[in-house]
Amino acid sequence: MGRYVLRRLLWTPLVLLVLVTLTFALIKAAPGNPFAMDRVVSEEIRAQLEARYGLDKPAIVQFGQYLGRVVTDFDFGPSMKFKDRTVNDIIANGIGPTMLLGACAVILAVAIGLTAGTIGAVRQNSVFDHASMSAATFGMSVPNFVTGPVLVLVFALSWKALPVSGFDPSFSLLPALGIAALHVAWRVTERIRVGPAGFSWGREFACLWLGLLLAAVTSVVTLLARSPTLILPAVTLALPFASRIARLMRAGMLEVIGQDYVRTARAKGLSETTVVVRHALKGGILPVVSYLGPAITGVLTGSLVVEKIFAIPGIGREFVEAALSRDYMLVLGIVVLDGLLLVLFNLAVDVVYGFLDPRIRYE
Amino acid sequence: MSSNGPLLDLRGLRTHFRTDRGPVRSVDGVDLSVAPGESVGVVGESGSGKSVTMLSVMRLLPSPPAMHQGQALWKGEDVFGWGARRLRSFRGREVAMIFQDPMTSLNPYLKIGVQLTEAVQLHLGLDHAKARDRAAEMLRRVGIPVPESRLDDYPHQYSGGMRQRVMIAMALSCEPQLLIADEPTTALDVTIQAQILELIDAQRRASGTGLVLITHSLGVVAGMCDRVVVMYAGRVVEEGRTEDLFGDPRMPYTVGLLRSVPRLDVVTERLVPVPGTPPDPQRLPSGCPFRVRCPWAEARCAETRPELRDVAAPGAAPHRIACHVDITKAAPREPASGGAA
Repeated sequence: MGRYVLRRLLWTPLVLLVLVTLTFALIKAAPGNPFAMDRVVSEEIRAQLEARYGLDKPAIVQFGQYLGRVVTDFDFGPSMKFKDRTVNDIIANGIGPTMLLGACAVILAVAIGLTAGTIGAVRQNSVFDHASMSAATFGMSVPNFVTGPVLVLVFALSWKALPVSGFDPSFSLLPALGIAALHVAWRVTERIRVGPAGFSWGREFACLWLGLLLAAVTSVVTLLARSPTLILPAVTLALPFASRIARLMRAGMLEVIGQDYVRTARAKGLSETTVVVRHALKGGILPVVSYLGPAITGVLTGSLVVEKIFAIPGIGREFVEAALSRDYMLVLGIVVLDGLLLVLFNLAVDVVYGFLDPRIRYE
Repeated sequence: MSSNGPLLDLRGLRTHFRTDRGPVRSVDGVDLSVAPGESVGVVGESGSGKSVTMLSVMRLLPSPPAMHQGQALWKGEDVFGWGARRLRSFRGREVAMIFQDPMTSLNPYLKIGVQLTEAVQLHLGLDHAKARDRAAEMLRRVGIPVPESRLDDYPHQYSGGMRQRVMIAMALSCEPQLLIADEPTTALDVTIQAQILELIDAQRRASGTGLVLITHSLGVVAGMCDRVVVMYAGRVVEEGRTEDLFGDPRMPYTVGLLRSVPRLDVVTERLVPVPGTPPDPQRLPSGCPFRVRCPWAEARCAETRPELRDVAAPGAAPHRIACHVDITKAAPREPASGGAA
């Protein structure tokens, strides 16, 4: 497993190089340039600007210089739109809000999606199943730029329960620590009750996962409760992902519940909860796991519309503007970041897959 | 709860599946009983309702679409009247089941040890360490070498025959009073089928466990079972002690089944299959469902469905058949086709 991860990591620069090359070619091929403004600029100024940013040289030279700077100095160049800011600055400033919002949305989406999908599968064709699947279809098909403004209209403008936009996060670690303390207390009591002979690492790991999930959800709830500005954007961003996860989870669980080994588990006299949690969950969650890699990357970096609607100072917003105004350097920088995250999360998905399914071997 | 009564007593058990095209009557009035420690073979073609009958007893069929009627009495109590808690203490503890395909019946995501220990922890109240010891002991009993180290393996690291051994170990680990084996060797390599059957037989004899062996192999039944039940189209059509039924089959379907089995002691040019195919359970013929394939069929066979009746000599063990005709007296028609062969 360790060697497999190492090999995948060693391949990463090559993947990113291909990505950068293609992106560079694409933006060069696109019409327009960073200095095509409404104002008419004189030829001299234009020539000076191009010389300043190296745009007077042939494209291949520009590309070589760009790569050289990135590799030797980790410098993604100056922004072509903001005269005094570098791409590194812009990303460093914007990545915090984007990641925070993205993490909130991912955890919300996973918690809601997995719960709704599992209950929907276990209680197939129940009222809950039909209601949650209708909601999920709705959540998947209505785009962010519709749900966002509608939520603002209802909760911020009519009801005045939440702010319209802005970014003012506030967090406390205490509730999560509380969960951790409860977890430890729970494990210690059980250990005392069953005695040393009843100890098993497998059960401890299973409990740890439950504890971590609870702590993550608690943290997100704390964050949202203390920062009302985050609630609407996080919900808007989470909705399509939660919907998708719920559908994948339901389909995955339904397939597993129909398997022979679930019947074997029932024939042993296990309770329905044990059958679902111990025997069905691991197989049922696999489709969700493979979806999560690209999805998390998308949520973390691709919240373009949501950041724009709710005026959140993240990189998603910068990315849209950079692409529209042909800020070559900024586009390239964000694409590299996006690609890196995608590669890493896909690797994480493969590793998690290996843990979940013992039949997968990484040589 | 009488101690000398049957363990399991099915009375007019019906299992129908609701479908959009009307009910499918998979099990259509089965009467069957199993005494403590007895081994009963249930034989019949695919689709005759053998497996569905036993899955109904375990209440393992999702309902809907499965709808049950009649009674399945376990020591006098109807399993269909039980709540979830009683049902769970019945499954695995009092009756255990071995399924057809060991490749799909073990959970691929869980270690063998986990799958073996969970039932004994639940039913026998053993702690983790004792349950592991018990699991290792069970694996040793079913002939798996170095069982302690194999507890931490996953099912895909076991061969098909090994997996069925694990299933047997799992089923017997809580010392059930009845073991239901649903075609336990159908999915296995021919060379290990005999080993697995011997293992089931030896293990259940050692612990005095009753056995219901579902199979379509008459040879297996002859070697292992005290009594045989032949099923056709969701009903029992002949039932009796193994030697009576094999020595003197009285229901035309059983006669057909026996003639379709290769024998070592008789030189035969070719085997005689039972003509035709099992009927569609949604469109059963009127009267006796076997009459369209039966060389002894008479006019009355189309009118009423025959009930089980005892044809044994007075004082002998019951031998019951569901047939209007006494085939010891009547002569069979020649089959319409292929008669000249």
